[in-house]
Amino acid sequence: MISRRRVVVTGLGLATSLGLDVEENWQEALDGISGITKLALPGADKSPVQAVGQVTGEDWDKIQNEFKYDAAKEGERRTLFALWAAQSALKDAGFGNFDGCRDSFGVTLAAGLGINRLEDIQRWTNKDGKFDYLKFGKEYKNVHRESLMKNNSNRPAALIAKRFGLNGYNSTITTACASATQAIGTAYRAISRGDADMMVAGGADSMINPVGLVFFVLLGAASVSSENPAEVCRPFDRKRSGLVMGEGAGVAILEEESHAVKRGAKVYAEVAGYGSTMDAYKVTTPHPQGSGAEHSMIKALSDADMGVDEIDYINAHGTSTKLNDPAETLAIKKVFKENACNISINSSKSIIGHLIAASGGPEFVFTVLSVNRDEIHPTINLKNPDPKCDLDYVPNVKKTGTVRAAISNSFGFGGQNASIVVKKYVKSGIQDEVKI
Amino acid sequence: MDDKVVITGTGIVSSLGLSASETWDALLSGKCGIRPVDDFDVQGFECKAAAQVQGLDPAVPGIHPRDLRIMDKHSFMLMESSRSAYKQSKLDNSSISPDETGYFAGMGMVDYNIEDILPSVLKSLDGEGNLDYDRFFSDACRQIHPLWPLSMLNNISFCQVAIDLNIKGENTVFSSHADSGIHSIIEACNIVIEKKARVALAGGVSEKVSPLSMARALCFGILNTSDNEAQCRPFGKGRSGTVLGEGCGIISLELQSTAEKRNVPPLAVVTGYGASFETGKESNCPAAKAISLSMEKAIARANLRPADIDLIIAHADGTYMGDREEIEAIHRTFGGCIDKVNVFSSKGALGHLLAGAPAVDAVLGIYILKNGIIPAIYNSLPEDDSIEFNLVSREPLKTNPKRILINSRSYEGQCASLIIEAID
Repeated sequence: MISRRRVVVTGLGLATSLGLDVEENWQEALDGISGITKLALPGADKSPVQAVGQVTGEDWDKIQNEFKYDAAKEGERRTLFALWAAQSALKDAGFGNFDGCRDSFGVTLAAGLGINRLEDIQRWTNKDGKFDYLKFGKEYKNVHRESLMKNNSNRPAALIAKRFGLNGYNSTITTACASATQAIGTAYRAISRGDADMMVAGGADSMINPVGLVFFVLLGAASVSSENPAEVCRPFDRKRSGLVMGEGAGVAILEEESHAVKRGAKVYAEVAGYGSTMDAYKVTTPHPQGSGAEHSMIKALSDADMGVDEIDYINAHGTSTKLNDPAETLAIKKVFKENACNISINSSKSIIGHLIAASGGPEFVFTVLSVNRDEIHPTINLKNPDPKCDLDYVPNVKKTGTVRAAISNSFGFGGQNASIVVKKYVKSGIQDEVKI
Repeated sequence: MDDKVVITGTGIVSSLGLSASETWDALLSGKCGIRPVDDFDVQGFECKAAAQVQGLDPAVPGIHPRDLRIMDKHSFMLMESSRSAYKQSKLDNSSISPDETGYFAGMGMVDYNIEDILPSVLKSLDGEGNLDYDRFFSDACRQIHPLWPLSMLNNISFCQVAIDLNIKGENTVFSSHADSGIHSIIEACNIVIEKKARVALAGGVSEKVSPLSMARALCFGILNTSDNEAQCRPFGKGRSGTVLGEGCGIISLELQSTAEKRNVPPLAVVTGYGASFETGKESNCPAAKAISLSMEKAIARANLRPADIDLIIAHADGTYMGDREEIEAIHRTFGGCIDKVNVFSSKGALGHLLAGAPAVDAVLGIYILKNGIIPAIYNSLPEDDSIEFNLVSREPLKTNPKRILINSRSYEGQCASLIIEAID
């Protein structure tokens, strides 16, 4: 007999193109306001990608200023987004003094690729067009502080733990677009089985740099549309043209239930289950029948010990690519059968873009808020129905109505899938352990 | 009585051999895999040696040439070790279905080959030789091969192995330092305990030694830059840094009852693990307190006392600060029984395999349990003066250890520990 502990969400933090405040993000998402704007980088006019969900210059200055004495000197965009979101979530959870629980307070964070700086190559390229390894070897220390050579993927999780004094379990997950949901699922499991009492969990990423931008263009997954930026990302729409990149971070504080109750914490919702699968199909395309996605939802439901009639809402992976949206729709139909048409589905990517490794972070935050407040933000720009995408995607206008439980999906390039179930929190009675 | 998690398969690729048994034999006979790097111009770097894997055929049988394009040395190492563990555990997709097979790995940073992006950079230069992003975006970016982005994603080689072995169950990739190798084993253990998979492969793979990985390690200040020919001296008095190693370790984990049913012999039991975080005051490596916490969590989870541990396979990477903190942590945690604790490290011979290190150490631990002998650490003499435990540094030690604690740590403050025990 394995005893499992209940895990609840007690804090939320965000940094996205909509802003640095969770409530501000939530209100704008409900109102269907897009965070996608025209790319602002040197040479942007010539960039194949024009529409991106950028954290605004003003917000970026605010973040840098907040961490100017330490992290802003040693970290890059991804790391600073992570710190901002973690700090907001910790404040929201009402933590000031962690003494007494530091050793059981951990971090599991998804981190993106980091910045591949072309300047690092250009700087050591000879006049004859060869990279000068000898010179590079002598001068490697001069690579920019944002370079990959100075920023391992475990850096954001480390800087969070360091700054806030969290001495428990600390890990970093890098499974492309599935990363943040896997990070939150991994943190949930660590608390559930007793390896931690509290976790900072989520993801941070920024690929809005020259190499990052062409990354998905080369792979044929990014939208190269030059229409009004706010209207480019249109998940489940017949005229969708590919993913639109976003940047930022989404972080939640997960906490063992009795721990939260004891300190009188505000509880948003309960994490009820998690599951992950692999397509084992192709590294370049998702399984056309969404088989990995289907099983990931089934595993999460089974972990939550919940039936298909208990889910009212799905925060879809919904990338706005030709391949994902119909495959995900098919997977949802296979899992939920006749219930599928009763479920509200949306894509947060329509509003804030695809935060790549971090995408599951803000999407989890929105999922938790929907369960907590019985409101679902719309999928914006959904104007041309696609016969292959024929479920209720909450098009263009928010929805109000009871959300008993919800699933958030993330599917990664390469074929890794993850689903997490969030349900309304009901306080435990005398028996506070769930037996399975 | 709780069902135990047992190891039923192992796979190692290292600078000392392309299999676990080759690596073990070479290690026991006192060989060292550290050599001068000769596959790129390393002369400018302050460290010119590494323990590189030799002779791993890139034309891996059964891999389509299309897929080879996005594979690099880390992919081949992961593929070879995973296939080996999978085979030893007698997995074949029939007795245990793909959905019930899990896969977890720690992986380092995945660096691109500079030559793959160089043409694009050259075409982006203006008349003065400066980068011109107008040029990059409008045309030069098309010089990059469309699949090049995949070679930078560190989960792609993992997914390629999943395709090769048809693994579809619970999974994740941790990164990027040594602790991530133990994090993958922790998840795999719990997945089989909670019956979310019947068997799970777990472990980790190092980075390929390249100009970028060398620069990264040097930026972190961890490499030995003081010798003409770099050496790694774990817990040695004259230690002054580590040496990068290439390699991979993968183990298969399942419940003892599953292994019995499938008639697969168990090699060892995994009984404890722990993880923690805290940086030291003078560096980013974990503080002694954190290393002690991770060891003590592992010992408590295994229902043991420190005196029950027969051998510690230390992280001991030969960095001055890192090893100092680990020595202090071992003294602190094993204070009451310090003169009875044997300590070994593989890094003097194999170099530092980063994410690949702990799973390789776990497999070496299995060989130590089976053969009743602890190899001598390569290159620890003379030992650090402060050491109170028994460092196996002079010659192999014939003993009969039953319980082994394995340590790992990052260069950012993370640490993790694992305990394996002999089968009763």
